[in-house]
Amino acid sequence: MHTWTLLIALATLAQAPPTSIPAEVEAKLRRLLPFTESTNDCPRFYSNDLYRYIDGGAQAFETYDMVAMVHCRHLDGEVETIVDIYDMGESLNAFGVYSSERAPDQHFLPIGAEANVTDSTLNFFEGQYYVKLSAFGETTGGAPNIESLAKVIELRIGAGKTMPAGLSLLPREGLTPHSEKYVKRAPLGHQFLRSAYMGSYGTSQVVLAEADNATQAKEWGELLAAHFRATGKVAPWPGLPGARRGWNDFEGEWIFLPRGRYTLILTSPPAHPEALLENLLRKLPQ
Amino acid sequence: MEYKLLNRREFVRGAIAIGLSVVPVAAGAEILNYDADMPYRPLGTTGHHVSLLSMGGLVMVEPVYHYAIERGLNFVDTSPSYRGGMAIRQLGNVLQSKRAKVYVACKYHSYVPFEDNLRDLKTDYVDFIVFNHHDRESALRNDDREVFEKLKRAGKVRFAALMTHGDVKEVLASAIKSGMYSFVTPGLNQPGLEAYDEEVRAARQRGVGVVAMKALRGIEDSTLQLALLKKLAANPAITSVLTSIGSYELFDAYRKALQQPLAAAEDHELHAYAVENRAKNCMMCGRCQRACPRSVDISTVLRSHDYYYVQLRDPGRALETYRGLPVERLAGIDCGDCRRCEAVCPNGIPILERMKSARETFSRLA
Repeated sequence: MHTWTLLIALATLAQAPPTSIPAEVEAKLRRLLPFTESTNDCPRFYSNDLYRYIDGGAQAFETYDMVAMVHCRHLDGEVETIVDIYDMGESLNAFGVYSSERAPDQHFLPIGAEANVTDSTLNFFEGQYYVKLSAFGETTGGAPNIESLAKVIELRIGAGKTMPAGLSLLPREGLTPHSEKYVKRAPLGHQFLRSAYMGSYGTSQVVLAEADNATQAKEWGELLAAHFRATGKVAPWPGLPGARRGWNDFEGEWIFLPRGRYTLILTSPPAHPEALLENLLRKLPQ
Repeated sequence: MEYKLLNRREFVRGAIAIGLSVVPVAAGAEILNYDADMPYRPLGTTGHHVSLLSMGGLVMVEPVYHYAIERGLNFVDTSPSYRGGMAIRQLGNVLQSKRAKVYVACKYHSYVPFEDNLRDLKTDYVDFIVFNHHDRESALRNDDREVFEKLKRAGKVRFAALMTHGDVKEVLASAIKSGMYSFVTPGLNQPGLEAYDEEVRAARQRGVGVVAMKALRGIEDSTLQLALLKKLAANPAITSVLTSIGSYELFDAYRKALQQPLAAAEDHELHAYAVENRAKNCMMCGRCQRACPRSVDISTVLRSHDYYYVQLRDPGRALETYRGLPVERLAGIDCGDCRRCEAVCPNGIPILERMKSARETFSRLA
């Protein structure tokens, strides 16, 4: 019996084979690595088995439809450098997962489309790739070492410093720098919403969820109204035609309205949100 | 802390709500953040009860945590490594107003000072420090105790727990035996429930909680996901189901499922699903090995090759495992092609071909 369960357990570990990584994807990832030699820890490739490497953290990458990643741990004397390069399939996904790990109060560098750094880590995204580097050790010298490696990878990617076009829909005035995000699924915790550009304006947050068409955007508005009706209150907001104000005890106050194929949401609105909303509406395609 | 003392009626309701013959909550138990629509279970011998649904992994949306906690969830888990440290900070935002309503578990990573975790979580202590062991060697070495005792003396943690998704049987057995951990957290999907049943039951007998993680991994069908939650709830040894929940709808659906009985048809579907998935791999049932006239350790050879080498891309581990076999169990790799192994394989796996591939690989690696 013991043998049986032991073997089944091993089968369980093995039962979810990783999706095979297309040869060209693997080859490209391999070429991006700044180290030439191979060891047991370099390179290692992951696809849908990423959880074996970063456990529950893998879910963030799955949410953004990660294609594959390469992990490389490089030891040079006392210095250990880790390079992880994620192929997210497209630039918007790479920005999405990058932005989910970014905070406006971090230190930023012009590497890739954007990079943020600490003493021992550097993350950047460029094109469809999200790159994470970290270095540990007494003589590492901190960021400069990984900065130079990051620049090598940046050049090899060669996709330029382009930010996702959808971010331009967010008004620049009042926008907290580096607060923009792209949330692919269930933005703000609502399963029916998707594909949202978000940005912070003081304590408020603007969310632009992109529907397939205007009809769907209106449906989303109705679903939000129903949600607030069930969990708190909802009423027309007089500041804009078609806008509504919703309130409950766990999401606070929202103003929301459909406009074209977008559902626009303003959370924790300021005392006078009119100017911000008008700025936003001007930028939205009709 | 906001506790509620269960009365007799609530105790009976809690016992029958999920259709169990085993009473999950003792009468008179004090339940933190009690809600009549959330089932709770005692967590090992800690004296505390945790919600059968717990949330962890990536905190995508803070209001969803507020929503869940306001509806009786009282157990959250995080790690400084999730989403580059953003997840733990977001949970800290939630805990600013909800700390008194939840038990907090936080993973331990040697490269992150635990005080940094407390700072990010905006709390003076966590209830559970969760150690990771993913292999037999680290489980046996077990240098967690010193870390745990030190933090406990400093009032920064209360209990220790263990999470694993590698060498699971050995790690669990070792953890349960150690008497140090209040709960263990293995991946418990449908095959896992069967594979680790012995350890899960042993944990219960030894007063160690079992928090199931990665339960829904690999199941895309939402009906089957809910069925599996029901199945987990029907197992009295499961203390809580830890999952990452990013929407209100999922929280409502999961909480509801955990209070419903598992229908026989659902159980059948789960089993069929597991069998279907196993058939894609060696079930490692051992029938081939028992049928082999030369007693070749087919399972280990295939595990070394198909799992460690091909799937995990870990040639070092593959070779080490392969070389660890006694020569007499390997010699038969040049077998007589009797194919008795293939004849008894319930999944029709071309074992000879796979063994040949393993032999070629290990010759090359050596």
